[in-house]
Order: sequence, then structure tokens, then C-alpha cells
Amino acid sequence: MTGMTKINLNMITQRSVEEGAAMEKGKTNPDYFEACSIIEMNPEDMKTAGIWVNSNVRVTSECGTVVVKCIHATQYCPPGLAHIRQGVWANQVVPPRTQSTGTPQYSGFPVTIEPAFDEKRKTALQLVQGAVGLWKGGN
Amino acid sequence: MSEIHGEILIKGGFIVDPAQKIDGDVGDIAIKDGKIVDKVSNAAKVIDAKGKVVMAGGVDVHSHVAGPKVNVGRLFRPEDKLFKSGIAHAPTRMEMGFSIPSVLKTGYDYARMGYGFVMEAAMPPIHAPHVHEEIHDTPIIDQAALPVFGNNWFVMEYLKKGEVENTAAYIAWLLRVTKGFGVKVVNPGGTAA
Amino acid sequence: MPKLITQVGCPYCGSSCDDIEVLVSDDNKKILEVHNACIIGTNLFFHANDPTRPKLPRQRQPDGSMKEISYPEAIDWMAKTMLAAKKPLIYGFGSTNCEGMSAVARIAEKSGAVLDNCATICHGPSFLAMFDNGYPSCTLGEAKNRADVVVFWGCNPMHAHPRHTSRYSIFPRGYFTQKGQMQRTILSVDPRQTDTAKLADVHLMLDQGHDYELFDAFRTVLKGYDIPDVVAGIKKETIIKSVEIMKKARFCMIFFGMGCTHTDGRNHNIDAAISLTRDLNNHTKCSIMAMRGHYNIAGPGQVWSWIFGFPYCIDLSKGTHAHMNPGETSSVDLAMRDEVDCFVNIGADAGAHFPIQAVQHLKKHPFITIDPNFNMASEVSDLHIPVRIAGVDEPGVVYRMDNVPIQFKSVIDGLPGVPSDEELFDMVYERMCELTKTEPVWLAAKEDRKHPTNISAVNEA
Repeated sequence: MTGMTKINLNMITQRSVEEGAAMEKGKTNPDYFEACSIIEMNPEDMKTAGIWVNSNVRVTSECGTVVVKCIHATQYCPPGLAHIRQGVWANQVVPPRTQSTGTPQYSGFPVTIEPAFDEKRKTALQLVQGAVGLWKGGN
Repeated sequence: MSEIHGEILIKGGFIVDPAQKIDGDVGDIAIKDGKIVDKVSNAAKVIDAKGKVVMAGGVDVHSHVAGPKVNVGRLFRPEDKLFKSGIAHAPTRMEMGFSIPSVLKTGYDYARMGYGFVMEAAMPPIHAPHVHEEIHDTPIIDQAALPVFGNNWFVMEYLKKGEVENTAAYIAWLLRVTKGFGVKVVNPGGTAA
Repeated sequence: MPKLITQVGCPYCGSSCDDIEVLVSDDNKKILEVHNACIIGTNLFFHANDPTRPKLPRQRQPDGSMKEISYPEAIDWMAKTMLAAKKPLIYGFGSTNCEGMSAVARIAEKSGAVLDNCATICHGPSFLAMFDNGYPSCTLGEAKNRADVVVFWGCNPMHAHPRHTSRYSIFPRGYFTQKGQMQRTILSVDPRQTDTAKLADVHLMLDQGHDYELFDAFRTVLKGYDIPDVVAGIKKETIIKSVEIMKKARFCMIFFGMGCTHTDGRNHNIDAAISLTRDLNNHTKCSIMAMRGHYNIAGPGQVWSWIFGFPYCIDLSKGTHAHMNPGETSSVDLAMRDEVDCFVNIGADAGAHFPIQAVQHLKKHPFITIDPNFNMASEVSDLHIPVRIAGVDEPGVVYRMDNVPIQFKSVIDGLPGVPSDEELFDMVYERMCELTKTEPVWLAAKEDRKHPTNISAVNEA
């Protein structure tokens, strides 16, 4: 069922209290996985792309791609805007371009989002260790 | 560092000591355990001061060298460090800045000019730890700081009510908790006006 | 008997709350209760009880696993690795104390490193704007006691600084703000209807990434000129109404955050905000403040400004003088252009918070993490050295978001044998001096260094 419909949105990545509270328990804690491996968007955009709430989607930017779970925005996003809480999953797609200031484009970059019902979310360690060739399986 | 507890002989310099009416005579100064003494043993470390002035360290009673406003000045002037900083060479560390020197440059430059003590003349009480941190990171020279009282609401309230003893008690308390050295008043009442 | 320790500082966000109370066990080893902190601070304190906290350094083996080694071995490896590198990068310092930040400066100079902190990916653009345009700011106490109009522009304290609105910006009753929330008017500028926007009297839900135009429109209206019917997705009437509210304030306080620094325009957004603040001072008293993220991220900006003259992105590789040029000497740019050949991540988590490509570039070279806990950076490091947790088992000076220094306490004993950041850095520095046969340059006559002067004393603790 992947690749059936897509939608192009503007992505931002910001702090949230759920992310902070989970992070302080440790980034391998299940709370962190639940808090940060999600994308929030407007229900109208979800309908346009054929995404079911609480199902997985693939988010692709100019520099990376990640599978996250799609939920209705907990803090209202207007149509056209999507939000992944700052953290390991968000930084799989954040472009490192800094406009010569040192600060990457954490908020305000185009992404393509499509349903990915059959794909699983990777864990934080799998993503980070995997990106540098240190992932050995397991948790 | 062991020299502070040992013996030092400063040899052959032009001694200037107004208190003893010595005005440039060539002579020796002996130091033992941090105090000037008549003489020291042959084990003393000798500093050759030939051709140099030997005098008590200078005291700068009013300067602005440590604390939040100096640091804001450093922040606002990145260009002050560009092409105008000294070149570091052992045994000193990097010295940065010209019109608003870093604490390292402050310490080294004052020492080079013959100063031993500098008074930071304005310490906002709420930022006292900041002033003391900069003092801690300034090499060689001794420093103290004066807390500012001129726009302090508590002082103004006490004075408005004519409570002189309470004013004195508050000032004494603030001096103690900020480890301040004396009272500084600048533009009294001006910022609240 | 458990002990209640009061006036404890919370080492999480830039609010740097100093009214926390912690109940600790009789033996000073366990945290039993935390009062007054938000959920994030509470979790942070309790995390110190985690029995799996690392007690020894760990080094990556050829087969990819991590093996515990002694502190002297780790210090030796770190010193040698940094000295061998042509341009090591030292990054982090969101979560260490100022004593550590001052100590790391010695290592950075000795090894010719680039010294950078989390501001490089956070409020760096704010620094760039301050360099150009100044910073008409104040303390949080002034905001609490005076501000009757508060603007949250591109920031969401209900999520990022949970007690900020209760302690400083919306709810507290202050000297001139005795009626608290009742006499404050709140404006929120944010592309989402955040939980902070829900508390606002006016929420300007602008088009994301168009803050610069909106700041400019505010300034134009303030100066009495006309603007288009819609700017950045906001109607002209709303802009005019908002400017009137700010103009009629007795004390207008603008707080800004990542909505302005992470988005298109970066420092130009902040520059426009500072200019708006200055313009408002023609009508009333107005002040502006960056919502710094970590409890002591203002620390390295202060400490390195007084040591080197620059707050971040400090290139010390020339050895003779310091050079700062964000964009050139900033961590992510250096990583992406492969201009550094060793990475030391201290009191932060570049593994989780840098864009992943930057981490991949950095991993081509030795990668060291210094942090009390396991995090993403430690799990990809070649060497992970644990240290004490500043604010929990290590005291120290901390700079709040308004640059007010607060002396944080420790509430429990540190793990046996685990040094503080300052102690660790001084040991690495001494080892570097031994290896290069140079004399360490301490701050001359200061003899009150609290760390041991020989490494083996640490493991006997």
C-alpha cells in the first residue's frame, strides 16, 4: 500500500514537553520512542494523502528519509504544515544547510509524506548506530 | 609557585620606595615567605633586575575589567579581536581584544605595566558571582569589586522613609553576601527616574 | 532520616528554576522526592538514581563492542588523540557548570581545537544579530515585576520552559504587576496554535518562515506608515491592533525562540526583532530576551567571552590567537566540509540533535563523548567518559537565560571515582602537558584548585 498517494508539506521540528520528559529518562527508553517517532499534521492533509491516523508514514526530505507514526496534531497545525518533535527521528530528515550561520534548517523545509502501513519504525539506536555502521541488531 | 613560600633575591635594580625616600638607588630586595626581609640565604632564586625599576605594585583604584557589562562589551565587538589581538607565546595564554581585553590580557597587561591590584568599580549585586568568576580567571593581579547601590530599590525605600540605620544594615549585608569591597554609587536614582 | 534540601537549582531548561526542593536518602546517595520542578526536571533528578549509570570510561573495541577501561587510560587516550589531530572539534556545554567551561579552554588551546557550544545549532543566529544590533535586554525579575504586555515570538514556553510562564512571564504577581495574569496582555506569534498560543489574548498564526516580513510590518506601522492588507498571512487590522497593544504597554517584554533562529533568515529575524524593540522604546519601555534552551547554555557564551572574547565557534587551531566566523568555524559546517579530524561531545548529544549527515561526517574520525549518562553520542563514540551531573551531584555556577549567575548545589554524592568535568579536563590538560613536555599554565597565583594533581588519586576515591 506504500507509494499510492503522496503529499508535499512544510516541515518544522520543535521541542515538546513529552520529548523533554522522555529524553530525561534516557533516549533508549520506550517513552522517548513513543514521544519522538511521530509526525503531527492537519487531518485534512492526512485525508488528501490517504494516511490513516496512528499508522506509519514515510517522510522524505532533500537529504534523508524516515518512517514515523502519523497522528493528529496535538498542537494545531494548519494545512500545509507538519511537525516532528526534535530528536533522533526528526534529525534523519533535517537538512544540514545553515545559510552560512552555523545553524541547520531545523524548521521550514519541504518534505514528501506517503503512507507506509507495512513499514516499521526503527529504534533510536538503530537509526543513529545504523547511520554510522555500528548497528548490530537487538534493541 | 614554590617561590611564594621560598626565598627570592631581586638584584641590582633601580629601587623606588617613596615611604623610605629611596628614589632610584641601585640595590637588592630580599623576599622570604612572601615578605620583604633584610637578607636571604644562598639558596634564594635570583632575579636579575639590572636596568629595571623595582617598585611596589601599582594600585588601580577604579577600573572596569570584570563583570557582566564588560562581557557585554566583548560580545558587541567581535571586530575588536580581529587583527588587534596579541600573539600568544609560552608561558602565557592567548590574549584577545584591544579596547575591551579578555581577562587574560587584562591580567598580563596590568602586570606588564607594574600593577599588582585593580579594583573593579561596579558590581551589580545580582551578578556578583559573574564578577568573581572573571576575577578568578584573571591571572597574576589581585582584584576586588565594589557593589553598586545608587539605583537599588531597597536603599531608595529606606532612605525615602528616613531609616538610616536600616539603610546601613542593608548595605552591610549586601557587602558581605556579594563579597564586595566598598560602596559604589553611580547616577543615583537615575535609572529608576 | 531523609534530608530535605531547599533552594536547589534545576539543571534542565533556561528557566534555571532555583526554588526546587529535593528529599534525599540519609546516606546522600539516592533522590527520594522532588518538589516544585516540572515533569522534565523531576525526571532528570530521578534519572540520577539509575543503577546502570556508567561508573567507568568505555572504549570501542575492534569488534564494535564497548569495554570498560580505567580513568588514567581514558585520559591518556583522549590527550593523545586530541594532540594528534590537526583540528579537533570540542562541542556541547549545554549541561555542564562554568568551572568546567573555564577548564576546557586550557585543553582547547593546548590541542589547537575549535571550541563550540550548543548555541551553534540554537541561538547562534541571536548572537550574530547582537553583534550587529546590540541587545536591549533585562533580567527575568524585571519582566516578572514590570511587564504588562508579553510577546512570545517563535517560542513555546509551555513546552520548552514549562515553569517560565508561572515564574516569570504570564502568571506571577510582581512589584508592579500585583494582579498577575489579570493585568497582563499576552501576544503569541506562531504558525501553530501551540499551548502557549492558547494562553494568549492575540495569536498571530503567521505563515511559517515569514517572521522577518512580520517584524518589518510591525515596525512600519509603529513608525506611522501603511502596510499591505495581509503580511505573512496576518491581516493588517490584527497587525495594527497588536502594535497598539505593545505601544500602550507600560513595559513590553518580547521573548523569542527557535521559530526565529531555526527558520529562513536566521539572524536577520532577530536583527529585525531587536530593531523593533528599539523603535518601541520611542513610545514606552520595551525589552527583548532570547529564550535560551539549557539551564547553563548561556554559561559558555559568558565564560569564553571573558577568556577569548568570543561566545562560540572559536577556532583556536592557529595557536596564536582565537578566530570566530560562524558559517566557517561552526560545528555543523565544519563537519559537513570534513574540516575537523576529531570530535569531542561534552554535556550534550550531537548524536541525536545534529542532522544525521553531520554525525556521519564526524564519525570518519575519533569520536569522544563526555557525559554522565548513556546517550546517542556515547553509543557511537570510540570513547565515553562519564562525569558527575552538574546540578545534581556536582555544584557549580550556572547562567540563567537572562545571564544572571546562580550557584547551583549538589544534592547527592557523586558515584565513587567519577570526576567532575573540571577535574577531568584538568587531568587531560596535565597529561597533554606531560606529552608535549610543556609547563601547564594555571592561573598563576591561584592555589585553590580542588582537583587531584595526579591521576591515580581519582581511582582511589
